[in-house]
This record gives sequence, structure tokens and C-alpha cells, in this order.
Amino acid sequence: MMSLGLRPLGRVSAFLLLGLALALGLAGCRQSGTVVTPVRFDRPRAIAFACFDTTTHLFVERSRCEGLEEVSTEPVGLTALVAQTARGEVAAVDLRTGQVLDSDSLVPGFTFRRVGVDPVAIVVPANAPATTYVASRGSRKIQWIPTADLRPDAVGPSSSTGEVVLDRGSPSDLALSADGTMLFAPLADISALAQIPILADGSLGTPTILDLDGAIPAAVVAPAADPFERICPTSAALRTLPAMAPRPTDDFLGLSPAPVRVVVDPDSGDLWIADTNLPLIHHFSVDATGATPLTSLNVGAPVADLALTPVVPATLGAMAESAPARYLYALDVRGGDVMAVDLLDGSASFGAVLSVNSGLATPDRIHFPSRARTLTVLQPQPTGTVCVPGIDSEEETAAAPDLLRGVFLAIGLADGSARIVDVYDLDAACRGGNGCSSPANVSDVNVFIRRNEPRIGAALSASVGIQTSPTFSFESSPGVLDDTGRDQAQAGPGLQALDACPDFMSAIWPSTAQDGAASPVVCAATDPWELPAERWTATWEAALPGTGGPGRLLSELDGAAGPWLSARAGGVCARGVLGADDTASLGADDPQAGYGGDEVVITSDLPVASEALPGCEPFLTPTDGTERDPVGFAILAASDDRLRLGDSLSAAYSFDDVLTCFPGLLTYEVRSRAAYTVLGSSSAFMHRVAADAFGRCAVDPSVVVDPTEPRTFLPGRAVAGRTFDNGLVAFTIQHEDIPGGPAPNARAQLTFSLSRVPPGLGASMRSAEGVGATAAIVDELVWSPIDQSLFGVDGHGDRLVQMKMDPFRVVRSLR
Amino acid sequence: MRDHLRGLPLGAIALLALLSGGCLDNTGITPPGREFNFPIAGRLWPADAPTHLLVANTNFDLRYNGGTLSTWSLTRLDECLLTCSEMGIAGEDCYVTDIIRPGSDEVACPGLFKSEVIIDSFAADIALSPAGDRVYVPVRSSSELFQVELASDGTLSCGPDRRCDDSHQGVDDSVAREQGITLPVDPVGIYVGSASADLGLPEGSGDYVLLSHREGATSLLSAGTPGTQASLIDVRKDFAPNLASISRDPNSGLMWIPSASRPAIDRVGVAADDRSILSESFLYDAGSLPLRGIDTGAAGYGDARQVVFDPRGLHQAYVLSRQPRALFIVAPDESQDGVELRGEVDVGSGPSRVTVAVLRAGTPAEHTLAFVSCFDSRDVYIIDVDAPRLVSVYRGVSGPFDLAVDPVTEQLYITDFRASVIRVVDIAPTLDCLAGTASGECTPRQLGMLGRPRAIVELR
Repeated sequence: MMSLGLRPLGRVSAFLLLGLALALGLAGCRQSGTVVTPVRFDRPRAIAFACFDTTTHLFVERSRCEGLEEVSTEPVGLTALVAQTARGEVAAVDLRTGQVLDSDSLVPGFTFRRVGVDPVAIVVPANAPATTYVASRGSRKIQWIPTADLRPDAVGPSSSTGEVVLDRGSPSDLALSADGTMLFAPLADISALAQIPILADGSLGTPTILDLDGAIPAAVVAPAADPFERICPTSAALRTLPAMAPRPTDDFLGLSPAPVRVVVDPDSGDLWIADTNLPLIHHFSVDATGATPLTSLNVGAPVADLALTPVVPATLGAMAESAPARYLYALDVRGGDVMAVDLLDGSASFGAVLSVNSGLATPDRIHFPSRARTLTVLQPQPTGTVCVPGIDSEEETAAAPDLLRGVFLAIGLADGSARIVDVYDLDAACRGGNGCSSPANVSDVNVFIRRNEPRIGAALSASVGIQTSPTFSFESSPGVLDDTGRDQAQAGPGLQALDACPDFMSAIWPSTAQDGAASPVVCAATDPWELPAERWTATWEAALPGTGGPGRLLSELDGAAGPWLSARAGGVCARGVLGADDTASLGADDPQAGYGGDEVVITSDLPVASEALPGCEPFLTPTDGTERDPVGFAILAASDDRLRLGDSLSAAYSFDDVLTCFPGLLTYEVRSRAAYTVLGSSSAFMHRVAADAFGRCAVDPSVVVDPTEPRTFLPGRAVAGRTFDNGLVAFTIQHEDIPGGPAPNARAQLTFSLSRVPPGLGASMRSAEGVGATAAIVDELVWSPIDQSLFGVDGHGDRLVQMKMDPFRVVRSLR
Repeated sequence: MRDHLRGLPLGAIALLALLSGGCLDNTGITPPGREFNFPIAGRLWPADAPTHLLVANTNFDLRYNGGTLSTWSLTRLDECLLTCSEMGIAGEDCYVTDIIRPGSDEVACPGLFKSEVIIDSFAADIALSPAGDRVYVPVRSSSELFQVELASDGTLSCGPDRRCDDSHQGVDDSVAREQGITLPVDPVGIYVGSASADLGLPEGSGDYVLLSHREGATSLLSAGTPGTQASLIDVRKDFAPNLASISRDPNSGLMWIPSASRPAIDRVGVAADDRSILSESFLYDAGSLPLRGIDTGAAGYGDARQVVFDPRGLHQAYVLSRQPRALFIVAPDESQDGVELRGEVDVGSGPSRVTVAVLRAGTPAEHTLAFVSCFDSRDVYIIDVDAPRLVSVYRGVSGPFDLAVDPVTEQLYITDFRASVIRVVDIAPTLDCLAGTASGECTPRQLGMLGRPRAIVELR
């Protein structure tokens, strides 16, 4: 036995040593090692594409990738270059394999190419991909780097690296001129545009700084015009688009330009520049000598992003059959919605902001429930043929709401979704069938396609209806209504059949009325873009939302005899409160005419100090769980911070009685009186009340009631025997079975929920659904014509999402 | 052996008694002075022309038997940071302390430390009285409210000793109890205001305090006179759980209370007017404001941490959200009783605090910037609220939490919870870039640290 010069271990010692070794070893196995998470995307933003040939390991002209299936077996495929703003890097993604590429395999974890601080834009010339240009806002520089540096498996040709540092101004975007000889970068902080020549070797020359003109030209007025649309059935009545007056721009006088985004017109090579400080879109022409300023467009509001369409037909049909049209879409910074601008050369309304919707929303805005953050124009299948109905073509058979062929606008929203807006649908004429009859898809019966409106994303075999049936609960009765709207128990309020639905509305209940076989009882707007999928309630003498607050009863206020309730919190008029005197001067056509005014009810408990006072017992809150009888008064006149009170709600007490028992501050709420408060679950309480110059609440006198214009009525309250019409829904409540109506404080509520409301076409960029899902905020949308994909950058979820158009859907998410 | 064992039980008992008596009587270690121990809040004082920095330390690791509230001289701090610069010490290596430790690499700065008092552990925040002569500190562990007097020279006092006495902590709820009202536990947010200026009460009505409690309650207190406890007036419950902070809307006077679990902001009002007295005021539910049009990852879920109102008086507020991670610019929509979303800028992980400041006011280079601390991603986001867009990101902060901006010196003070220091950052480079006058990098640069970083192995 070899001796190592050590004392031999005793049996016990050896056993202990072995046991110790085993224990340590087991402990080490149980310990979980430190998990190294590979670095991936970190606040991705700008994106550019380059075509890569895996056989030659070279970046090639982008056209080489056109029409490919984007699968790993293809020798060429697109590489996406994505700016990572958190660490100042550019990441490369092989779109064939969907893999994020590690630019340096020698460094543990993912390594991306370092560029400047806060890279905001990337440009790879389509026909000269050897050099990539990156604008970094934080470093105030434009870099040029070999595109091969961005992929670990890429090789030359030899290309230099360098940068141009701007002495002043930070770039927020970067655009390549149409001829590929110049780059343009907007510099918001110095109100200028940097023009940077590209030299023969791909490097950059000395920038020229072009100051932007802040003068605001006169706006162009857009005439009302028939839109490109396809509506089935042809009897569906939609309002015409109203003419729009330009928005005033006095608030912007004296401000400086803040250019943030540059778009190059692929047809003319002109530059269009978004300005986030002035209501301008700057316009430059570009030739070999550089950019020359032209007259800016006055669009009425500052803009954050732009997109241009190609020339499209003005009306339904093929280009050859229709006058041309062209549009510029601009993202309104303040409103968070999108405007459409006439961009057709030679048009009389060139530069005018167009009217785009005819419902309740602002007419000159494409509006979504969430703020718009980015937009881009899609041209799926640009060389496709127009679908001709009735010839049983492949296009006719395939035409569907989610199959996109033609020109569309994609808008990225703050709620993490990408939504589609119709511009020119090649399949529009085939939708709904030839002559709106016998559609290839039997469900595609009700078709609503209109330029500059959100695209409807589902085939509609039936029109809007009501879930099950409306109910009119009354006290303890559930209030089931028959098809005429009458309470089946004939013991409570109900609805009254209408002779006809108001203009631009359609019957939604009963279903027999939708076929014309019965009189309508409930109507809803025919315009599918105006109707949220919501639940409506009309509640007898219910509180107006937001009217709760502190107040004090006063016999006199500021020298004026009362009685009064001082509304300490103010803002009464904005909540829609009206007194009897406030409606006295309304014309007979006004939906509020004759309304007897609201009532105010005390909601706080009787003060402790008053509990023992004689006469205050009726105002005690019952201890048996029942509700106290309302303690309150009719409102004669409402002002923003005070209510002049009328009769008490009960003959059992007077104002002085209540004042004695509630001598100090109390809380109150305002309720409809002898009327129903109508609320939509998303539309809330719709009214036209505002404070006048003296603080008095009044139905907006500047708006004349126009039965064809829903924005001019908005009654807010429904009164029995009078048709309630707020432009979204219409019905008439009747008290046939309860003459005199419900008693004060009775429980009566009409409820119905809309069904089959046409959904918009869109896609969520959220990572998943349910618990653990990461919220998304869309930062960029980019259309890639090469592979007919829409790419969305979710800077919040650190994802690059790819969407296809046939049908429209998310196909993969990369991070 | 048997003889040895016979005496064992008595001796063991005696030994145990001796040991346990000593353990039960262990009062812990008093916090040493002039140090930071997991600071949670930092305030510049006075607000209009700061001369001192107030810092609340939580004693998060319970190393000591209490937390502390301390004041530090900004004048001396600036002088000592300049010393670092003159000595060629980079901002990342400049540690300024009041303690002279021979052989250390700290810059000794006598006169830097001004005053300190001992409070309970786990302070939640700091609020100053409108007159700037009193500091209020809600403490989560003991649910106490500490009231510390602040002299014009920055001296703190809350009793004869360094540790606050009973008259400077706690709440007098003797009157409230008669009505069945008791102070809820776990205060997380605080607002202190003038009863006359804010509520319209007669002059001389004193100050009032509003606390938000994590469980979903708010409480109204009367601040009381020096040397007396605050008095509980009213409590309102049934708000959303996981309340995070409380802020006053200067336009409506209502308090906005974001929740870390609901996609809505609750509001509470104080019922008072020029004919009432503070002790008879009460709280009322002013309705919640749903946050619509955003993706929170799951329906019905939301996580907002703080609301700050525009310092210029615009009817606009800035909501710091953790899900999604973003700063939302909102305006109350009075007619719909909701909020209008005017902008959103996504930020880093773990957004914790936001402060908004108007910089270079009155000049062509004026900008209103929001500073957002992102604890998990260890950075501070700087956002132009008018653009709205991200302007810059200051990285490399160990555990950024509270933020304070001095518009005069153009310095940002970051309370670094993880490293137990206050980082002093120069934001002039960023402002110069925004003004178009910069010639170098646009990112802020650290000038130095108040205190020396203490490395934390793991902090979950």
C-alpha cells in the first residue's frame, strides 16, 4: 500500500469524513445554482430590415428577399435590426428562424452591437445594404457601421465605421432620401432639420442645418365629400360626413417648431415632417443639391407621426374607373387620435384635414378608445386585382373581413393593440355579394366598409341586437317585457312601441321589428363605428354620476334669499345638473324642454348633536337595515357652486326643519326628478349642460337642436311618454300600468345590453392572456413590403411582434 | 458521574434564568448618529430656497432599535462635492461624510451633518408643514405618526432626548373613539396642508393631516400644537386595497389615492368650509376615476403607485404606473368623471416614485420634467411631460427610491435605499441638450454621494 506519509485514518474517523463529504455533496446538489438569464431586448424601438444571403454570408439588395416564405430552409431571408434604447445597442433578428442573434459569441450571454445613447432610428439602404446608419438622440450623433457587424455570421464587403456628432440638436428620427444620397434628421430642440450627405464609400459628410419656419399658413377648407364605401344592405342609412371648419391655431402663435419625424414620399422624394409643437406638417422638396422648403400644411394640431398612402381610387372600383385620391395620415399629439389630410397633387383641397366620421365623435378624427402612438400604411398585395362580384373568382370566394388586400392604415395604441383602418379594399365590391345579395360567405350579410373608418373585423350575419330581452324591474318584480314593450305582469313601467326609429337608427328589439314585421321598441344607431358594445340603464330618480359632495344648507347666501345648498366642491354644471328654472327657456324641440328640474338628497347621517333634538327623529338612519326616506328638496336653479332649493320632497318636513337638524356641513347627491337617469356602461351620462358666464347651469345655448345631428341633443334623462334619443339608442318609456308613474324613491330600472356590435379588426401585442401576462404599449409599427408583414415594437414588453395580413393575425413574438 | 449529574438541573435552571433575563431585557442598539440605514425619503427644505436635506431612515434590516430622521447642510455638501472635483475624484468615487475616518477614501466634511432624532423603524414618508417648521413621519411598523419640530437652522427636536418622546408621536383618538372611530394600521402616504388655505376654514385653524393606509382607508387628523399629539377626526374605509400614496389636486381640493391592485384612482374629500371648525370636518368618498385605454396585463387589475399634479397649475396630473410600467399624463374629465389620457411614456422596472419640476423657469429653455425612480432596473427616467417623451435615463443607481430636485442648482438628489446613500446628480447636461446649447453628452452625471455605499448581497 503506498504510503503518503500520513497517519492511516481510524475506522470512525473515516466514516465521519465520508459522511461529511456526502453531506456536503448533497447540500451542494440541493442548492440551486445561480441562473443566468440571457440578455434579450431592452426597450426596443426603431427597426429596419436588410436581406441576408446565408450562402455567401453577405447582406444583399432587399429585393432579393421579396416574395420568400421566410423559412429556415430559404437561403436568403430578412434580418431585422432593432434599436435597444435602454443600453444603446442594435440587435439583429434572423426572421427566417425567429432567432435573436448574438453579435459576439465570445462574450457570455447575448451581446448586441453598441451604438450611441438612446438610438432612435436605423436606416439600411435597400440597394446599398453594406452600411447601416444609426441616429442616437442621447449622444447627438449619426453613426455609420458595417451592416456585417450586426450579424455574427456576416462578412464584408469592407465598410468603414464612423460618426457625425451634431454640435447642437438631438436627432429623433432618420430618413434616407429617395435617391439614397442623403440622410435627414429632425432636431426638435433647435427647430431644425439636419441634412447629411452620404459619400461614395458610405461614410457621412458634413451636415447642413436647415432651420424650420414656424409661420402658420392659412388652413385649407375641406368640402364634404362622398367617401369610398361599401355598405350592405343598401338600405342602411348612415349620416353623411359633415363639412369641417379648420381648427383655430391662435394658441400656437409665437411658438417654435419641434420636428420629430421625417417621412419621404416614395413618389416625389419630398419630405414631410411632423411637428409636435406647432400645428404644421413641414414640406421640403429634395434634389441633388439638397432639401428646399415648401409651404407647410396647417393641420390644426401638433403631430407626432405621419404616414402616406399611394394614389388610390376616390370611390369604389378600380383606379381606371375612378378619380384619384391620396392621403396623409397624421397622429394628433394632444388628442391621441388620427387625422386624414388630402395629399392629392392638384386637388382643390390639398392639405385640408378631412371629415372622417359622422357620429358623435369629433368629425375630423379617426378615434379609438385608447390613445394612438404610432401609425403606418400597409399595402398588402399591391399588385392584386380588384375583386369583381358575380364572376365567382378566387378573390370573391376568399373575400373576408380579416383578409387584407389593398391599402390600409395600421395604428398602434396605448392599450397594446394594433388596429386597422380602411383606405382602399380591393375586395370591397365583393363583400356582401353582388348587389348586396348572396355573398360567397353566407355570414357576410351586413357589410360596413368606409374609408378612414376602423375596419370591421367580423362577418356580420345579423345586425345589432339586444342580449336576450330588455327588462324593466319595478320594486320586487323582475320586469319581463313582452314584444310590445309592456310589462308582462302589467304592474310596472314599460316601453312604448315607436312608429319608426329616429333617422339613422335601426330597430334592435324586438327581433320581429328588425324584419319589419313589428314596430320597433328599442332602436340603436345604424352607424357601426359609433356604437360601443355597452349596457344601458334608465333608473327612476337615480343620482347623476359624480354629483356627490359636501354642502351646507343656508337661508341666505351672498345676500340672496334662499333656501340654498352651497355646493362646496363646485363643478355642479359639468355633471349635468339642471333646476326647473334652467329649462324654462328651452325651445319645444329641445329634449330637455319642460323638464321640472333635478332634486338634491342629503346622504349623510344625522349629526350626533341633533339626534336628541325634537323633530329630528324622521331624519335618523333606521337601525333595521332599511333606508331612510329621502331627505331633500327640488332644485329651482343650479349654479356651479350652489343650488337654489324649492319644495321639500315630503310634506312631512320643511326646509327649516331640515336646517335645524342639519345645521352644519352635510353630504348630498343630485338625482333626476320624475325622470329616469340614463347611463351607458361606457358612454356614461351624456348631457349638454355647462356653466354660463355667471356660473349658472344651462343647456348649451350655442348648440341648436338638429334632429339629424346627435351631438345637438344628448338629453341624459328619459321622461315617460317622450322618446329618449341620444344618437346611440332610442326608446320611449310608458307608465300605462302605473298611472302617475312610480312613487318617489320607488325602484324602477330599465336594462338592456347591446349584442352583435361589430368588432374592429385589430391584434393585441400582449404576451399572453390571463394571470402573468405582460402588458404591452405599442411604440412602433413598420410595414415590411418585402415579406408582406406588419411589425410592431412593444417597448414595454420588450417584444417584436410580426403580423400577417391573410388573414390579419399575430404570427410570432420575438424578444 | 452520578454526582456530577445531580447538581446539573439546578445549575441549568439558574443558567437559563440568567440568560433569558438578559435576552428579554435587551433594548437593542441605538442607531449611531450621522449615518444612513436604508433611507426611504429625502426632502429639500425650505422648498423655495433649499438649504438642508431631510432624510428618513427606515432601519430596514432592524440592525438598530429605531430609525432616524436627520438634516444635512446642502451648502456644505456642495462645497465638499466641489472638493472631490478639485481633487480629481470622479463622482462615482466621491463619498462625502461628516465623520472623519483616518485612512479612508471618504471626503470628510465637518459641518455637513446638522441634526438627528430617533423614530420607530420603517418610516413610510416625510411631509412638511406648510410653514416648514414641522416634519411629519408616518411609520408603518408601529402605525405611529411622528411630529418633529424643525428650527430655522435645521435643528430637529422631538423631546429632551435624541429619541422622540410620547408627545411627539402617536395620535390622540380619545374624541374619535367615542364615535367608534379608530386609526387604521399601516400608514403608507401622508399629506399635510393648511386648513384655512386648503379647506376654506377660518385663519388660525391650524394644519390638517391626511394619511392613506395600505388596507384601503384614509384618516383625517388635526395637526395640533408643538408638543401635542395629532388628533384623529375621521376615518373613511372601503377604498381599494393596497393604497400606495396620497396627493392633493389643487384644482378640486380632492385627494387622489392610487391603488396597487385596481385600475382606478380613488378620491376622498374633506368636508369643510369657512363656517366650520376643523374638528367637525369629515371625509367623504368623492368617487373613483377609472384608468381606461391602457393595458394592465389583466382585466380588472391595475397597479398605480403615485400621482403628482402639475406644478405650473395646469389641470393635469402624472400617474406613475407599475403595470404597465409607465408614466401617464392625465387630466380629469369633469363631465364624465373619469380621466382623459393625454400621454404615456414607458419606464424601467419597478417604478417607485416620481417628482416633477419646472427647470430654467422663465427662460426660453424652460422645461417641465418628470423624474421617475425605477428600483428594479436601477435607474432614473427623465421625461419631458409636455412632449411627452423620454429625455434621458440615468443608470447605475443601486436602489433608487425617493427623488428631490433643486431647480436652482440643477441637482437631483436620489435616495438610494439599497446602498444607504444619497446620490447627488448634476442634470445640467440634460437641460443644456434640451436647450440646444450642449456640446457633450446629454446624460446626467453624478457629482458624489452623501454617505458611503453599503453593499447588500440580496434584497428581495
